[in-house]
Amino acid sequence: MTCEHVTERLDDYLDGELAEDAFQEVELHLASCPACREEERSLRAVVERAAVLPRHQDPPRDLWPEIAEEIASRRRFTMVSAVAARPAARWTAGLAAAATVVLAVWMVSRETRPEREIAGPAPQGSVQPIAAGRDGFAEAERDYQRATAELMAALGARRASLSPQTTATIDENLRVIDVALAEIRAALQSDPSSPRLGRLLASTHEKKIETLRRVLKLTT
Amino acid sequence: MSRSPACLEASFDRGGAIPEATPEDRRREEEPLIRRARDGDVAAFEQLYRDHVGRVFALCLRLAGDASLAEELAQEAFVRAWQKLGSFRGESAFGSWLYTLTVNTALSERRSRRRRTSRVVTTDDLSAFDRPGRPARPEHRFDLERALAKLPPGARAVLVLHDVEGYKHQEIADMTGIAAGTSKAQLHRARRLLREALTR
Repeated sequence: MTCEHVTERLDDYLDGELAEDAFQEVELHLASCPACREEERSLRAVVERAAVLPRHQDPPRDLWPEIAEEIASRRRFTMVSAVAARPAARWTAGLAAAATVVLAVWMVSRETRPEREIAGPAPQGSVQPIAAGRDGFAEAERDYQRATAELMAALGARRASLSPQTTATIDENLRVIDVALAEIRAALQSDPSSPRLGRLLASTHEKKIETLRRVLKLTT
Repeated sequence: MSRSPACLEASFDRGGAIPEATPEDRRREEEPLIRRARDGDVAAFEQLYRDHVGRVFALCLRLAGDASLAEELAQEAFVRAWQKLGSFRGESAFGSWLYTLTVNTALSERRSRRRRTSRVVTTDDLSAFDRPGRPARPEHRFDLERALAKLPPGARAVLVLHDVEGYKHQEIADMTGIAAGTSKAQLHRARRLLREALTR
């Protein structure tokens, strides 16, 4: 057996995965070849060090509160989906859109967590980042809030004709979006020049507007 | 919340002085928790989280090479576990099922992130490993963790799963979707890169 053959088989040799005859051949070669013996020794040291690394490591903070929150929010999502799936519901499409928003908001809330890594390029999409800086965000927010207020007023005029269950579902979804917007604004307070947060703010406002538009269309 | 014997065992695995719970003990202890969690009992699921979070987080940390991403991945793994509990039939240990799900979560997130962005991972922040009460030769361990975090992601994943976690190549292939031969080739490469990094 040549040194090349031994090198090819060394991982299987170290892992005890060689058949008996191949194992014996490698052993024989190692006994007579100092270079391969050194190769085997140094690799074995790496494998042995990796094998004793602790497999248990507590996270730096308790992750449970966010997991519990996420479980609760997905339960709400399931409830919304169940209502939307009723065949006679006139609201099917509107509620499905709202359910999508719940998911989107969950993604937003994940994205607004502090990051340590260097951010990559902007994700592909139609949403343009709001101009960075406190002034840029404030100006863009005013536009979105104006548009939202008009739609909310139109929805308010139709509330009396909606069932309590439908109204509650809409309100719950809008509340979830508003919570996400508040989280993003809070993140922007500490990092006002972040283009990523600007994009998140814009996309979340647009989702709110889109949801309101679809709800209004379906109730007309 | 009180910590179960299973959690204590996890805190001392590999070299602890406390007698370890046998897999059968652990299974007996976990069965009622799993049943309750499957029926929607969040408190029971929280106990399962507390028993397993250390192992899940360590796995995520090594697969991700980044502490904050590891936190997200561990959270996502537990949320997915909650959603998929109905499909857990108890044919394997709950821990094995959960760790496989964690690996899938971490690797699918990596694929998805690779598509979306050219994220740069920090590899020098080892503060998450800087915890008390762990191994006898911390200087060796930190060198190794640092070198591991700098391996190419595919090679790192295979080395972590094979050499640290003890999975076989076929199991890695089943979990990751690569061929068993590719897993072997990645391990071959990873071990040599790791050796180079450690001898620099």
